[in-house]
Amino acid sequence: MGIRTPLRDGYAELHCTSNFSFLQGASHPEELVAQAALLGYAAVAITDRASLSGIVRAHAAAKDAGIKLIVGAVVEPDDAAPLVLWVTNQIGYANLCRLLTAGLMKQDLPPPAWHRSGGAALQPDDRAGRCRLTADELADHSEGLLAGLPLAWLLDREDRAVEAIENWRDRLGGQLVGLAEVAREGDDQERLAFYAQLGRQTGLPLVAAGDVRYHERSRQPLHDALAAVRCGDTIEAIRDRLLSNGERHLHEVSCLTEKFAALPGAVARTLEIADRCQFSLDELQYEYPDAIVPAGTTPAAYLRDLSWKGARQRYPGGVPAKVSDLLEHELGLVAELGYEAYFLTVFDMVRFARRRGILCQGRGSAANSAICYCLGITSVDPARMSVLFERFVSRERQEAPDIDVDFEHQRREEVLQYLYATYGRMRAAMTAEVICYRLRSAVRDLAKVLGVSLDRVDRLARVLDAGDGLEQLPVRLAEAGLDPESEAGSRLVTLVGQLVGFPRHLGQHVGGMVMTRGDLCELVPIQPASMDGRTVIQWDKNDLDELGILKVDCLALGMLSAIRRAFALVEQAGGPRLTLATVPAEDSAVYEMISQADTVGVFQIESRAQRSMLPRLKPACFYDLVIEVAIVRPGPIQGDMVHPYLRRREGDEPVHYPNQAIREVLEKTLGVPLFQEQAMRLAVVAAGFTPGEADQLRRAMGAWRRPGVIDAFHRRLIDGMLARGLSATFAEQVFRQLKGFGEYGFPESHAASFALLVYVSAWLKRHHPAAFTASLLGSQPMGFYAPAQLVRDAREHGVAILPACVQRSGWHASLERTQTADEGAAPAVRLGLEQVHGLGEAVGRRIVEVRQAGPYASMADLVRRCRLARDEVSHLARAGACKALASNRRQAVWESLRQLPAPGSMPLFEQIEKSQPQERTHQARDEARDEELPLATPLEEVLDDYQTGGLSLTAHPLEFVRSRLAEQGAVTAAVATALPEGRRVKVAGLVLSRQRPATASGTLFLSIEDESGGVNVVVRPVVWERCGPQDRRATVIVVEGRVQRRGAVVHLLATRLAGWQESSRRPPDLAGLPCMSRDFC
Amino acid sequence: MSRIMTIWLPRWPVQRLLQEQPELRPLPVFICRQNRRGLMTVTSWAWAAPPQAAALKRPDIRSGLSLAEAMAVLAAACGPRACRLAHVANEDRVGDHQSLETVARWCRRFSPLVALGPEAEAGGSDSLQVDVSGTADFFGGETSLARTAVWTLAARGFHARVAIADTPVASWAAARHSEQVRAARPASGQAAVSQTASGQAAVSQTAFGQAAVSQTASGQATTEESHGHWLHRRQRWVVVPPGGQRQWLASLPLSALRLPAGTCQALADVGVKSIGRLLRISRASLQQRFEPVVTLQLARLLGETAEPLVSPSGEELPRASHAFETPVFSGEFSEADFGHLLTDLVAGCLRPLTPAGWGVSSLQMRVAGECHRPTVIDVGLFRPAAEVKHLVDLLLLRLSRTRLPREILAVTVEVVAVAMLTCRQQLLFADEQPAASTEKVSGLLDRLACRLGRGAVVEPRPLADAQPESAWAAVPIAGAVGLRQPRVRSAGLAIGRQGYGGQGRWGGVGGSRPTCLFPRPQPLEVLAIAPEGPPVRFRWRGQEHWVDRIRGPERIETAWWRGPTLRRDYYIVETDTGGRFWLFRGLRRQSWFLHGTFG
Repeated sequence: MGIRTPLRDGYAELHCTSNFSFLQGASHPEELVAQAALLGYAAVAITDRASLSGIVRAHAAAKDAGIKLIVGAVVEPDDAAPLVLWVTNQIGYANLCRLLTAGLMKQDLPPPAWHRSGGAALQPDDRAGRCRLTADELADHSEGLLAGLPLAWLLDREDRAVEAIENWRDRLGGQLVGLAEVAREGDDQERLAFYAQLGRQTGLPLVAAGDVRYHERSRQPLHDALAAVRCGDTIEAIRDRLLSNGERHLHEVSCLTEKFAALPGAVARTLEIADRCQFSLDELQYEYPDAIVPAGTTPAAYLRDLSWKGARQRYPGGVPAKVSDLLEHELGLVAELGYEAYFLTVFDMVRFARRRGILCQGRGSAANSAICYCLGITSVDPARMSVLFERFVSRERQEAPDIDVDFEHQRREEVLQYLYATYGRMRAAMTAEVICYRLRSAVRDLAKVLGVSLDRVDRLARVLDAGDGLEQLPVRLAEAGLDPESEAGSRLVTLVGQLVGFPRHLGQHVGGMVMTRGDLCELVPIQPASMDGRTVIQWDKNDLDELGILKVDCLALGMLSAIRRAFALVEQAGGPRLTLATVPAEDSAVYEMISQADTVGVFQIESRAQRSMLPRLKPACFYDLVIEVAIVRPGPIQGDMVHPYLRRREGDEPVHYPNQAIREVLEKTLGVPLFQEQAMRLAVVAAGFTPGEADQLRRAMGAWRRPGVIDAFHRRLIDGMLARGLSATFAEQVFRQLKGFGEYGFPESHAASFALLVYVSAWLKRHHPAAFTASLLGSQPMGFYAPAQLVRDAREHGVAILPACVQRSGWHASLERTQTADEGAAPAVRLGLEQVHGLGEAVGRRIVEVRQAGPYASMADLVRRCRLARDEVSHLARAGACKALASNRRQAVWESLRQLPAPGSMPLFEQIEKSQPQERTHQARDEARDEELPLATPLEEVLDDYQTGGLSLTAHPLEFVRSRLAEQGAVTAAVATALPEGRRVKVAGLVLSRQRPATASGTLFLSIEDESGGVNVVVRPVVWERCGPQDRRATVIVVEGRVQRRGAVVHLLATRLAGWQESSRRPPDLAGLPCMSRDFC
Repeated sequence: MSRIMTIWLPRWPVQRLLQEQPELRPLPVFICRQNRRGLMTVTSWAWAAPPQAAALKRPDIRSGLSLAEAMAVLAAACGPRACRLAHVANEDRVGDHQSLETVARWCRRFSPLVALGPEAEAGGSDSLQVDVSGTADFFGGETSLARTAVWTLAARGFHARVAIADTPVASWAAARHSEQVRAARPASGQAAVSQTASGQAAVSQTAFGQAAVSQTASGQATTEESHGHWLHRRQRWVVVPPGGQRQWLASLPLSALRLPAGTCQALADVGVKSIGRLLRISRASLQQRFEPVVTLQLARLLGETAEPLVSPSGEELPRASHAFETPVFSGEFSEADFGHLLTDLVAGCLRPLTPAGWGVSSLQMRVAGECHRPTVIDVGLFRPAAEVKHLVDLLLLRLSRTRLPREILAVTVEVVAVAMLTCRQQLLFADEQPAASTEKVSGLLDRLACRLGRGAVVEPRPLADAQPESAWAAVPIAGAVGLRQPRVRSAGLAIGRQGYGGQGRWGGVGGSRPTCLFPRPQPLEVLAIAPEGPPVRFRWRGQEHWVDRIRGPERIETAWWRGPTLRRDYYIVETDTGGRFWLFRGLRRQSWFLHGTFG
């Protein structure tokens, strides 16, 4: 190192592995930073393995704790010793990001030779996420970086130690130091002597470091357990690869000076390094990419031009004054803040989708603007909404506008690839999503590592409700048959408590794209995503928010796919050509249907909660739908806004406004703030906030919770309202409402965009039920209901449903004119081959394609022509899709088991077969018919249907046990729901969904169904906990409870739940019935 | 028409253990094995006589669970006390097999042809098959024979299920599912039973209940699949009349035919779930669809394909016996007399073997007394031997520890297993042939094993573990010396280091582990200046030691997953007298221990 700065007391830890080196570090970066601050360190470096994922969190924590953070990473080049890199300035940061990106992008290369020879040290997952660099690449990008060579790495390569050091020294010169690390492994003095000798031989300055893996000693067991998870083995089995002690935590400074007494100056040099690292993430400059603008015009002018052009198209009869004012105001604000490019890129993306015929629709916060409407990004008329543009584009902060665009879920990839193509791989990438350990995954991984048998691990995972917290874990362990007090049990509980919340790997955000003007890979490392053709940055959404980086959300929406498919089917069936805009508006028949909660399959309002609201709300116009969409959200529910609104709407309660300004804000929602912008507006008019402040308030309450910030706003808000003469209770109520909105509220435009899809899907359901059903089935998985319920609902509406069949089905569900019916009759829905569980899409499509040449003559013909593998035929046969080719399903399955000659193996015979197919297949069929297979009982047929396709067109499984249910005193759902309020009743049903909304304080909602219909069951937590784990996860459940009626809505308040008990004496039982439940809890 | 009797001994390893150590009956017993990944897993378990309170709950423990998990399950079902009581034993496949062979020999009273069950191929057999064609009449009919088999085994402390049928496959299936077979027997089957067993079936139903239960008191009735308790009062034998397989076994599941699980599932998918259904399908079409084993097992079930029983110990192996004209009092029969007698007998046994190059690898001696069952001495050798003297010595070593009947009627020596002797080149001039030393070692091992018991002859193996006490294991020397697998790792103390891919460097620093490690650390009085500092002076065996030089500390914190975390600072100290010691300070209580010495 250069000049010796005067020695100070203190220490900076330069080598800390956080848990963002997945499964290696055993502490959060925040914990490391906080602990370092507590111990009085001068600085701390977070150096994860080829990753900067944890650095933004560490940065925020370091700001809070008032400690200096050094940004760094560990790289392990293929052809040289590993290095710890630290960033000294902005150039260094850009270089580090570029380096990591380059290395991560090469991760598919085979591992280097020395790595392979590492034997036991090579962890199985080491190849995934590996950063593949060479020493030369690193040297080329070393400006602004300091590097530390962990000398411990050279210990077992003593003969080559000097060579390894010289190798780096030649490339890095004075930027290189040696990291002297010891961990009380018995030979500390020898090691330090060895380091000192290396230092003397090569002139390398030695710096003390700790190779820290966790912030305090107590995390050692977790660190060991994580190592075992990484190796995919039990701790006992990998114990030879564990560290022998727990010394790799952050030590007291006094301890360290003593430890490194043999290397004078090593501790002090940590401070020199820290001094040279003068980079903070705050210095990062984010620049949004320039828009693609025609030559000779500026982005501002181009945006203005496009907006006005759009406005004139939207309002052929002349742009209303309100809209033109709004447009001017917004354009001004956008110009002032320089966001033209952002709007233009979103416009470009939408224009691309439109050109390709991909249905899309904008929503999200900044979409709530006249500009977006005029540009065609949204379809919601600003003339009908009150718009608060500042809410999303604020003057006070350099705050990112936010536009989400929904695309058809099966075609979004095209749009993403368009963006990659337009901006290039180095300038655009997906946002990451840090996938964290949750209770279930933590229990699963740790139990395996502690040697719990696999089937018990499964059982444990099954008894865990998704809503369970750590408190419930001991109870659940006991339920799974493990004593939580036993040694193994208590170890598991402790470790799980520590592991929950740990990042596990980087996934992709649902649709956030980040684009930059310069190279994105100088801002943050980019790595390939698990999906082909996608790249992802190492930061997640919160990290981007923290640093003020814009992202464009390209989301996938299943309903858009379904709607497009339905439009196409309607047109094919000879109906009109429809678009989102041309669906006839304000159809009273549609609203009537919605008011009766007949909305299975309809976008958004099909859920249990929404359907129980509809009969009370009785929507009669589009705006009612907007409210309906917004009201059943966690925000309004938590803020206690739903019931006042309903009471006021039903006329049970007068509406009272404290003053005129507030009336203006809240009048259209009857005095209850239902939309985010109303809440913001309220803060403005009632408490005197500027719009920007109001938005800061919302954000402060949102994702980035920091206690002090909220309190400051709370005080200001209450004081502001009191100063304006409003009552304290009103003020508190507003605060509570704002709090709810922070995370879960809808902005009005958002709700309006959704409401449009609600209306369109409801219209389709009302007027083209067959096409609607077929399109929903073709767009699975989506929505709240499984195909079984969609089919059932369609049949209740008189749509004929035909089973999947190799002779007639397409891959997706399609419409079919029944031959008996005349031309005018409604078409039937033919289920697609996609309904057959286990059948791949490629195979399914091949069956359809090959059939073009003529129908299949027999099973053998099908197998030969489609070159089907044995298990593919068996899937088809078991699902009953081959009934047309065999006398019954079992014969078809039996046929499929036959060892058919592999296609092509006997070309001669194939020729013969081809020449006389009829003859041969008849023979085969006769042979099959000879076989005396037991005929399937109707129940077995139904069970087979459920097992292979998840639905049955012949009967409901509960019909078969109805007599036994009747003996037990259970009635059908139809009878139960017709009973008057308060009656006790017993109902049995197939569990369709279990739901535990966060807002319902532990109450669980079950939807169950029998042959007569469905019923919703409300289960209080006490009742739920009282029943055993088998009962909670039962496929078929028997509920005792009391009928609750509110208007047209009927619930069953459960007092007892029990799983259906099979009887060993009597034949009909439902043992083979797969679990149909979709769990949202 | 042949008739085969299958004797199923459910959960044989535990049965054997309890028979050998009846005092374990009131305790939960686990038989464990270290699996491939070093984890102790339960292979078999039982709680023969649980206290009344615990008997109500049945812990769901199956083979394959890890021991820790099984304990947690037991604790959850029966309370933590049950865990403290639990007795854990290591699996001893060789011993299990040998004991089963002993039972097999004993079963020769029913018929000369006794074979181990068909699952013996997979290792770990737990059933025997006896060809009782034509011998049932000596026992008063087949039902009586089956009952006799159950009762007499019960009298020896074994719980058995017995079935008699035409073919080995049928009788095996019937034994495994005896209750189901009895419950599902065809109405006409009653007559069949009466015919063959002269109406004893009805009697036996009640008669049995007490007899065996008094032996094996159990509060529980469980299904046979559940692993917890094999001892229950249900009917334990069944006789399938000749030609009755089709009707009697129709209701049994396909697994009773020992078909592969995948095949069973595929058949279940078309509704074929029982043997009866399977029999109704043409063999040709089964052959087209499934492995040949399906039709083969069916043919064997019905007796269309002969399936010969293979006697385990091979009747052709030589035996020699000497019967005394008048009973001899064992007290008067000296060791020398035994030596002479045995020399004759062993020589007689070896005579047919040696010319072919065979040696004895397992030998059994039976001393028959007046009224007791014979005293049996089994000798297993580490290496096949053909020297009379060595074998006689081994037998005498065992005899000296065995209690003999007061009066001896006969002595029999029987060769149980043979193996090829290893040939080697003779050297011309060397006095001591190098190969002879291994021979001597194995001879010594044989003698030690005979004197001390097989499990007592062990060798240390290093294990990779940071905790010094667990860094080695005493492994019983099993099998023949020299045929063992190569040693695990000689430098097993190396603890690899994570991170930079390097292997540990522990061995490199001049042996950081002592040559002599004490079985358990010995407490020491130590003077240390600093509270966390190294030792200065200590007393050991009444002697003061002043520390001259130290190396360390080496901190070891590990083993948290086995029990309480170990936290120690180890020092290598050299004293003024030149001794080198391995000391540690327990970090939990700050107390000092001596754990080993160097040289």
